[in-house]
Amino acid sequence: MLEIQNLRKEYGPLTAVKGLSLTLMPGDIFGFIGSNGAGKTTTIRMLATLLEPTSGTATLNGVDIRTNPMAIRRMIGYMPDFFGLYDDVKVWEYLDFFATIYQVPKDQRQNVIANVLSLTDLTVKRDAFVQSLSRGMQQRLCLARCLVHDPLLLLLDEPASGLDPRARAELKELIAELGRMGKIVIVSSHILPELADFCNTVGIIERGELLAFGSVDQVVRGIHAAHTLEIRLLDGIGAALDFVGKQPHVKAALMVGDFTIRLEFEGDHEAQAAFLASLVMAGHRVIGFREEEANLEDVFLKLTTGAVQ
Amino acid sequence: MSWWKSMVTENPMLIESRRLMRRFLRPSGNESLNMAVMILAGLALLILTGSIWNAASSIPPISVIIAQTGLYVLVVPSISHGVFAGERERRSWDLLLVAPIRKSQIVIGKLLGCIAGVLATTAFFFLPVLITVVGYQRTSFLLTFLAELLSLSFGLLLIALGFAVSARAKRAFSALGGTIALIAMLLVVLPYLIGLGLGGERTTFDTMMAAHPFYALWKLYEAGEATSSAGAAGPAILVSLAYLLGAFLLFLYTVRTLESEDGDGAFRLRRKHA
Repeated sequence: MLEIQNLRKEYGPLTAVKGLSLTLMPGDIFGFIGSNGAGKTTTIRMLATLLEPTSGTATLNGVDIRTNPMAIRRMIGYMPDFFGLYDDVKVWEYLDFFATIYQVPKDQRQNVIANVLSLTDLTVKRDAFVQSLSRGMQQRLCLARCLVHDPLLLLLDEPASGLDPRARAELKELIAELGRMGKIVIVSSHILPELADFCNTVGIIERGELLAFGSVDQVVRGIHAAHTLEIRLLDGIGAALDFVGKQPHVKAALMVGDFTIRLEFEGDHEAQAAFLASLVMAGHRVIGFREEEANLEDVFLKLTTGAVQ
Repeated sequence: MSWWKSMVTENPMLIESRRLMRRFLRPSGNESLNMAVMILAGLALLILTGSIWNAASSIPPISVIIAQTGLYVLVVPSISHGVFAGERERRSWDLLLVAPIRKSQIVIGKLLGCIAGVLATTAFFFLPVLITVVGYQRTSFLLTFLAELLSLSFGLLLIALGFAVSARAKRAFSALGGTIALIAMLLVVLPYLIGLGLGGERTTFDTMMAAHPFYALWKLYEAGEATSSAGAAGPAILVSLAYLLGAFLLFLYTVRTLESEDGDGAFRLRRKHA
């Protein structure tokens, strides 16, 4: 379990992270969302023991990042937003190098390397030089490096940046698999729809402050109390609009095109069902009823101003 | 023994030796360039060995060791400048900082890689030195040994200097420039200024120049040519010890610099705000 308690980082007068607190459980894939300069990378670097927090701390399975950074380093896999690869070594040598650093026993190293290569689909590139790999493969190799010591926590800073759609899809699947393996994964990214696909928890940060935290659904519903409903009718749109406007939970309704009404609805799904039933009972000929779901991007844009420190 | 294992025999940073070998000796990476360098080095070795073979009886071994030391000045900065600055430049340094490895392990592992480079340079001159030792009429084994000791300890000092500069530099190229500038300052500019300052005062100049590697080697050469070599061994041993001590202190400084960079990234921030 990862517990972050009032984590704070100051650079002179600038506060990069302002008392961040959250808890993540094994299997959680946490999407860390924020504009450039919001404090995501600073937070990740503090968790990776690269930066010392000004105050507050974080514990991973009870081990404190401030008092026992060496033990923490054995428990985390850190993938920064750059590759940091050695071009002049082979793929297996690179992994063997890090397996040695992470004190993987010598007799297990070959197996471990074979396993992480298989997991990241790089087995055929085992003897290739790192410089000969494509960008997507290099990214997967970085992830393989993070996995050689079987870490509890993975810190992935912008892992999908610069990847083509296929490589992104493969990476997404790989991260989801890591979550299924029971690892805590923290992923920072700008590509919000993708995060919503595989993250079960998200946090939105701006100017070092965590503005929202929870499951994707919780965060979206917490910010967007009202849903947008779209109703398509066969005819009689004027009467239907009058009727809709008088119903409970309806915040605002307007006509979109000749046969469609769009409205803001504040009730839950029960209320939605009752609303649809009353609409039909009142004789309006409904041929379409759809809830437009708010997504992370909407929430992010609503919550943040884009300001940086 | 566990110290020896973690620092030397099982130090993961020994990969540096493999990388250096691959960069300079094997035709991988930039294949044509590496191959050209290897062919040129082979030709140079052939010409050097052939020339020395022909005139072995008139070439003192210390003069070959002086040439070897000169090659150190060219080779060592080229292999040591990027050890830390290069890691920073390619941004692999962070990956080492988040790994459970001590700074001293990193420094020693990289040092072993660079020592392999110095030994390769020494091996290049091994045959020519051997030919002159056997062929030269007035070979002094003691002075030759001392010259080799002085040359190797100076090579180590050069590595340490390269490490110290690289530990503080952000880019490999600036580390190379810094190292070369420092070497030029110590070996050329400073002696020149001392010479200018002292005018024709020979004794003080000799005393002040005693620590200069080429001057010290020249003194050994002169002693070898003279009928009596008494009095040359002591200063050479002292200078070698001074180089080793200087190298040790510079390595300590390097470890301390890297330690201070850990944790808060203070080093990089300081540079950024500078």
